[in-house]
Parts: sequence; structure tokens; C-alpha cells
Amino acid sequence: MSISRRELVEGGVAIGVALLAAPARGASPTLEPTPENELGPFYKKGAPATTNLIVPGDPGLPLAVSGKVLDATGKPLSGAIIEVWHTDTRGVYDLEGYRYRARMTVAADGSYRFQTLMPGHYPERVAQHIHYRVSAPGRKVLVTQLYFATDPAFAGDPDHNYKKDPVLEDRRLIRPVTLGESGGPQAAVVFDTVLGT
Amino acid sequence: MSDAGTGAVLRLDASGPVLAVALVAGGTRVSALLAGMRIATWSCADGRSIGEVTYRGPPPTAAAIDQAGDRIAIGTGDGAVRILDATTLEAKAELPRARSACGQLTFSRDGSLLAGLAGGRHLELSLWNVGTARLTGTFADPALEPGNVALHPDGRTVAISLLTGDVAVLDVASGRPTRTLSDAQMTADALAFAANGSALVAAPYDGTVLVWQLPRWSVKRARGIPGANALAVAADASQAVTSRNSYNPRDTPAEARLIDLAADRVLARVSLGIASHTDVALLGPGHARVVSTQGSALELRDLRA
Repeated sequence: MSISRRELVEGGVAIGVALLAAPARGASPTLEPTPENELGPFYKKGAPATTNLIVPGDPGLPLAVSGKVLDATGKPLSGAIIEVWHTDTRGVYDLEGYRYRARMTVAADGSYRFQTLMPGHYPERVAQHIHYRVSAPGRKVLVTQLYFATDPAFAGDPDHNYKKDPVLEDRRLIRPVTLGESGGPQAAVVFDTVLGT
Repeated sequence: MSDAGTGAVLRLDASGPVLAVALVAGGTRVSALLAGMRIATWSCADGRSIGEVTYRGPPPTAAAIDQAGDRIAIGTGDGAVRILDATTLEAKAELPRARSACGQLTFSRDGSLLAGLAGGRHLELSLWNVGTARLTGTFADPALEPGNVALHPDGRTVAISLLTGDVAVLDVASGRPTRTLSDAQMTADALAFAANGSALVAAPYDGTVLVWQLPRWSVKRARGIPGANALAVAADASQAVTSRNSYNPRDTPAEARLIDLAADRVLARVSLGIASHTDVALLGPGHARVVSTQGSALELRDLRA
């Protein structure tokens, strides 16, 4: 199998556990909690338990999202629950049903992954995004959003342009996108989340 | 004024883009906030302009008009909230400051109470008695993200829709939550108590209408409009009219429906075309009014069962 990959945007954001601050020798590493970002009005309870959000026949760039859910010491939070929701390629949320909505339980090593299509843009928001609500026993619920460094809204320079979206308050939520060519174009993003207490 | 279904509409032209719109005085007048902080009012009977005034105070962070159309509340960045005469914008009262600048203000149905939600993501509610110009209660919970507020006519209970879909019910006197209503799947921009205090009605984004009957808060569901953002409820909660704007995407047709809540039946519906803002009023049993705006144009329609 031949896979051609290229990092479209480097940016200053480290992926995943690179959010780790340098630990003192012999001490547990300390991770910054993932920045919060607003829940928005389109959250819907009762999303189906699935890791495949792709609606057959819907147009759009296939997107693989993976990552881990960790505590501030870097320990995987097995059993954490992730809820995700986003628009279709046209920028439309499904209000009456559960298209592009899912709920998943992370694995014992804290990992998760799901397949979907790249979200679209819509009038009230500048940037493409996937909403996250991450919960684990004894941890503060994390409400945040994942953004994409390849988003045309950032014009190739997320460092300077991320504030074009007034909701996007923290540059660290923009993640590099890797493009693959296995059986057609597809994108991949890694988004680790760190829950505070 | 013409009825839905006939295709006839009463059209009004504002002197600038409409930023917000409200049907007031029982749906007999329509007031609009225009660009440049101008407030214009028309008669719904014949479209006659009643007046237009320009607000010249500190930049507002929130504004609301009471249902009688007599008073406007303006919140500013320093947490101050002022009550102004809606016709002249003459200052009527200055309320004690909220801890944070208000991002949203809501009058009670009779205009005697005012609720303010702070502009940030976290729930921070202030309640004032407008008549005495006193702060009567506050409530904050940084774990909750609020959507909208409804004030019970008795002045003792407040309902706050949360972005999770839950509705928090607060006791004003103690400033404490008394219950959480978890029946809605999505948040409700549109939330109102019936005038007789018998029910709380919400029109969540998922296209349902939920009616909680007091005092047991038992819930009944009816079909509404997905994405609803305006709601008016009959005094006894037997009927409601709800509407939605065009949004997400912008070419979604705006719409209004008059609903028999007890029978879960749509009594009348009308497509409003493309609209940035809408508001609704119930004029009587089986008779509702809707205003929709696009740019500086306003359209008024009636719905009859």
C-alpha cells in the first residue's frame, strides 16, 4: 500500500501529548488542561454510540480523528465519555436527528478514534470545527472545539488569522491536518484532551 | 393586515438595517432596534410610524423592551442597567449594577421584574425589581452555560434554559436551584411561562415544544419548529406560536406556526422566506401575528386557526 502524506500546515502547535510541560526530574508530568471553548446551541443529548459518523452518499472529505483523554499527570482516563457533533459539509447541523453526532467511550489506554467528514462553514461561524464534550468520573467536564490548520479561513497562517473567528479564543485548539491518498483523498487529525479537576 | 395563506403581507421599511425586532403591546405595535442605535416603532394595524428615537448613552451590551412596549432596559459594559422610556428614551431608573456586564436582559411579562444574564459563557444571573429599582437576587454557577431566561408571573421563580438542553429552575428568594428539567434534548432560545402561571413552555432547537404543568412540573410534548427562537404562549398555555429565523445555512426559510399544545396540532403555519429576525405574538385564541425582517425591511403577517 502506498500512502503519500504531507503535513499541510506546521504552525506552532504541538500535537497531542506535546502539550506536556517539561516535567521536573522524577516528578509526574504536568499537563495543561485543554482550553475550553463554548458549547454553543447545537448540542443534543442522546447521541448514538458510534465511531463512524459518515452518512453514506454525503459529499465531503473523509476525516479520521484520533487522540487520547488524559489527566494532568498524563494518565489515561479510561472510561471517559466523548460526545462530538459538527455540521455536514454544507455547514448545516442536524437538529431533528443525529447526523454527525456521536458518543464514544475511550479505551483502556485513553485512546479514541472516529471517522467522519470534514465539517463545513456556516454564516455565524468563521472556522470549521468539531464540538467536544468530554466527561470522566471525578473530573471537570471539558467543553471545547477542535479546529483545523488547513481551514481556508486561516489563509495558511493560523497563528495570525485564528482570531478571525471570534469564538476561537485559543490558538492551541487548531490542529495540523495530515492528508492521505489511500483509496481517495482523506484527512487525519490528532486531538488529545487533558481534563482538569 | 392580512392572514397567512392569502399571501398578502404588510411591509414596512426601516431607515436602516434591523438588528432586533419585537412585537409589543399585545402584538398591536412592532418595535425595532436599527443600526446606529435607533429605535423605531410602527402600528401593526396600518403600518403607520409611531416614532423613531436615537439612543446616545454608553455603548450597550444588551437591550430589551417590555411587552407593553413602554420601557427599554439598556445594559452597559460597567454592569449598569438603565430603564428608559421607550418613546422618548428619557431615563426612568438606574438599577444597581450587576457584577458583570449583562449580555442579555429579559423583562417579566408585566414588566415589573428584569433578569440579566452576564455576557460570558458561565451562568451569572441578576434579578431586579424594576418598580423599586432594587437588586432582588443573584445566582451564579460557572459550570453552567445559559441560553435564555423566563420569569414566572409570581416573581418567585425563574427558569433558565441551559445549552445542554436542561432547564434550571431557581427560587428567587433563596437564590437556589429547586429543580432541573431534563426533558429537552437541545437548548431552547424560546422559553416562556403562561400568564396564569400554570405552565412553563419551551421550544427547543430540536423541533419539539415542551409544556411543563405546574406545580408538579409534569411534561407534555408537542411538535414545533426545528431551530425555533421566538415563542408566545396563551395565558392558559393551551396554544402557542413559535417562529425561527433563517440561519445555518442562511437560506433556510424562516417559518412560524400556531400550535394547539393540548392536541399537538398545528393550527396554522406560514413560510417567511429569508429572514434575519422574527418575533411572534398571540392576539387571541387561534389568532397569532409574526414579524420578520431582512435588511431594513419588515414584514407582518397574521396566522389564524
